[in-house]
Amino acid sequence: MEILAVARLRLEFDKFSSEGRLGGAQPLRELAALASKCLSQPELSMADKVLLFGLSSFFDSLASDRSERPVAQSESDNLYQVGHEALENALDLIGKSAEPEIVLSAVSRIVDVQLKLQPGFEE
Amino acid sequence: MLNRSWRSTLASFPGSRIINWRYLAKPKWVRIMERASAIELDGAGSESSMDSRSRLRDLIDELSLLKSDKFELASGRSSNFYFDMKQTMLHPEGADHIASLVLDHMDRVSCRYIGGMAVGAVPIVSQVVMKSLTRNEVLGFYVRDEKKSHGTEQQIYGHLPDPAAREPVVLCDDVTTTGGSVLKAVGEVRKLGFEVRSVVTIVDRLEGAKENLAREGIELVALFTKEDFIE
Repeated sequence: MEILAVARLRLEFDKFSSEGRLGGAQPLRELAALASKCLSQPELSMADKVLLFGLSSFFDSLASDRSERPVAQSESDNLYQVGHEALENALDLIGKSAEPEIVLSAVSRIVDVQLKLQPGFEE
Repeated sequence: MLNRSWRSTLASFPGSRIINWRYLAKPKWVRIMERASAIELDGAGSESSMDSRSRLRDLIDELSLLKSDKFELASGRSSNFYFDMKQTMLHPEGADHIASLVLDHMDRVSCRYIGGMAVGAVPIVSQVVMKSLTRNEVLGFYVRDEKKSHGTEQQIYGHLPDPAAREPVVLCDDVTTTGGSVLKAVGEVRKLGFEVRSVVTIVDRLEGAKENLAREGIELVALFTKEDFIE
């Protein structure tokens, strides 16, 4: 059951990425809902739950930020540049029984992306 | 029109030519007269509707249509233009014209209830309800994106018809693209057993909303389409 839900999350993420729609509020909200749905599966390991929680929070906050306001294409291009690899990496680790430090590093990369996507962020 | 007349009236006083009236605030008496004439016009029928529509088109063009950048829409598709309707919906004149035109539609379809998806439709619903005080009374409601996990756990707030009376409702949205947002509201309203008579949108981007709603047996009534603004 949880494998199906996680596979669906991965499938949708890949579909939105390939269509170039990952930055839209609706796709982001769908991904947040899917990640959140996966979280409710009791069979998941703690490591998987941590990764899914990180992903769900990321998608949800980005979707909220991008609702009800004009979003410049450059913001979405930025999401691909700054965040796509970190998100893909976190998704890859789900179900792999990864070591805790690897899981933490993946989640901290997502948090880092979230900070970098905030308006006015400078390295 | 009234704008020009009050300025020219004041400008006719001796010594007034040294003042640039353009930059002065509108006097209170002009505002009161404008309000009174707006209320009178509401009942006047199609001519006032056409005036409202024409003025609203200009306001949307001036305040809401953004063309200077490339935008990502909520659906994730990109576009060379964007309608930031809040700029018009939350402008006094824009709000007034939107409410008048939506009320005209409510009268046409003989409907007393209007609702829409939060947050986009909330200003429209509020303005229509307020404006209806001078015409046929309309009651409003809004649909939340998600059910609250605490409190009353409701997803629809406000006034809904008595289920036994089987009165239909009208839904509204600021901008429709594929109609995804308003279709969500349709689903929630139907779950409670109400009939959705039609959907009113201020601007339809002509990207499938009409067809998607028609598939659900609902007519989309657009005050404007993108073709009214983009050649």
